[in-house]
Amino acid sequence: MSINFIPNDPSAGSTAPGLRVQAKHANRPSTRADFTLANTQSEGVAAPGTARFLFWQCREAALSAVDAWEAVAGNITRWQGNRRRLALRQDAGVDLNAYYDRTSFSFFHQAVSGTTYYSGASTDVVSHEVGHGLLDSIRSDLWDAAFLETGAFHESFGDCMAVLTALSDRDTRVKLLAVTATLKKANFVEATAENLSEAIRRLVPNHNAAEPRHAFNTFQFQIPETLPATGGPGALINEVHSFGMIFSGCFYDLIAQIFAAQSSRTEATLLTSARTAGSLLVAGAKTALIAPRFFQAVGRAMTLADDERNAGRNRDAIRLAFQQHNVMLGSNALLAPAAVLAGGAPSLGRAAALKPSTRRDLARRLRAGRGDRLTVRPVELCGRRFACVFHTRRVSLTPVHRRLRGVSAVTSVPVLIGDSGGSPAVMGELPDATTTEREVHAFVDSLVQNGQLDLDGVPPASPSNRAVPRVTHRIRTVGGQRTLQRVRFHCGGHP
Amino acid sequence: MAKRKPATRSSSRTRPAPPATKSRDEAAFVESLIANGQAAKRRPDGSLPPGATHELIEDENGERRVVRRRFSAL
Repeated sequence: MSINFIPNDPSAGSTAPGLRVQAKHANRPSTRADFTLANTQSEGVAAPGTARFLFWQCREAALSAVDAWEAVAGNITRWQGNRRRLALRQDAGVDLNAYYDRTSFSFFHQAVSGTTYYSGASTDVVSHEVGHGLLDSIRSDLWDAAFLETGAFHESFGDCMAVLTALSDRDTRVKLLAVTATLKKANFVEATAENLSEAIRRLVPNHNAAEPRHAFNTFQFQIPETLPATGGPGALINEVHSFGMIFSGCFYDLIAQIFAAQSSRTEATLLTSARTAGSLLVAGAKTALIAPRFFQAVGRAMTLADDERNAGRNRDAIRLAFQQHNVMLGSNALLAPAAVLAGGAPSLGRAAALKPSTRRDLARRLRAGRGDRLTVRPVELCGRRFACVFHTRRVSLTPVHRRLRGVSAVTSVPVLIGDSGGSPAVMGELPDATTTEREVHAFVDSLVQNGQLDLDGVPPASPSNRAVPRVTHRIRTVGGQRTLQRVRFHCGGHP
Repeated sequence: MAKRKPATRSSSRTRPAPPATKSRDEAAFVESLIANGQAAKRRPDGSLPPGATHELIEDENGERRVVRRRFSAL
């Protein structure tokens, strides 16, 4: 017996593989994670729009997505929460959407202008939702992570799974290479959920989702809140599905980079390339620490995974793929936007200046106290202009030594301020006040331990330091405050 | 149709980022969820409105927080 199956999306277009007759997927082994099927239909070739077609189409798509995952991540034995089975509901009612809620994958139908659209009939949509479930099985902590980029990564991961599922199909790869031999052209694989977008376009023509999401894109990273909250079809906006296209773009470009490096470009090497990128994606997703700049965190984790697994063979491809979307992974991350600040864009001319509201916001984030100073200087790095803000503050040395009670050290920590989407932004990292204090305390403690700090005439602790004077710092009164000051450098090593 | 709505709560496992940066990013995320209709209160029948991925919960002090209930395709 056979079934009818659409390997991509009902509206993927004439260049995509269309409806075909094929053998059904075998049931999953009892030792592996599986689905509980709803409204079971007898096996057979059925026309789209019928309950029988939808049942077998949805089942086939879900099992294909799990196969694509297992080829790059190993067998999945349990879903999140140690569940062995999750419900696969191919038609859970009326809606133009699909959901994963840790107990089920639910798909819907809705009639629009005389046509009924079934989200469960799209392999793209089913792979996307199953992708959420697969990611949740290895990173359950991302479920309620409170950053837009973590939510956007989850959405992007679903889209990446749709791409991987498509590229796991030989017919799809052959047809894709007929459209574009380099993958560097819009195509039916990089576009996601065309059928659902068509329905939305007919219903709400200006909706952002009226255009399919594209993994082949030129979107550039900027801090998401600097983007508009809403926008027309396909525009990049401050919304998880839309913003996820930045990461999908990085992933798709990585496949293209790896494929371009193959000695021959065939459907077979395309599969190998996609699987290499997929295994790095899963490895990165597994280990990246949750942070506001999560895309960068995953990219860096993918680079480390490549070092470990492939001796860094794809390091340049990963770096370049992310860089094409302004997600900096290497030393150039020092110049990447990390956090947006209040106020308008900074003045980055000959005399750099921050708007008063930007200055206040920065002072608050730096936990600047009374007496702290923020001075601004223009700097040029790699041909780009920034405002370098020096946060000068006093760190109490009382916790370091009893004889340092009431003494403080003056530190000056630089923060680079640039522009992200027309807003002022911290570039690189925002210094952490606690870390600064700990570093200062550790440094002064080492001065004390090594006899390099003259504690008001008290001799150094150890005999060797008493024998070879090596004082570099003293305590002086500056502006009425007892302050640690360097008096000289000492060129000698340990005696 | 797929309308998007509100928000989220922070995970106990959420790590890094200086506190001020983190809270601003969290607040921005909640604003995005609300602006896109992805956070919403439950309806009388207990279900979330179409497109909502987060439940908007208000405690006795009127404080609002958002809790993820599902992921969506759009």
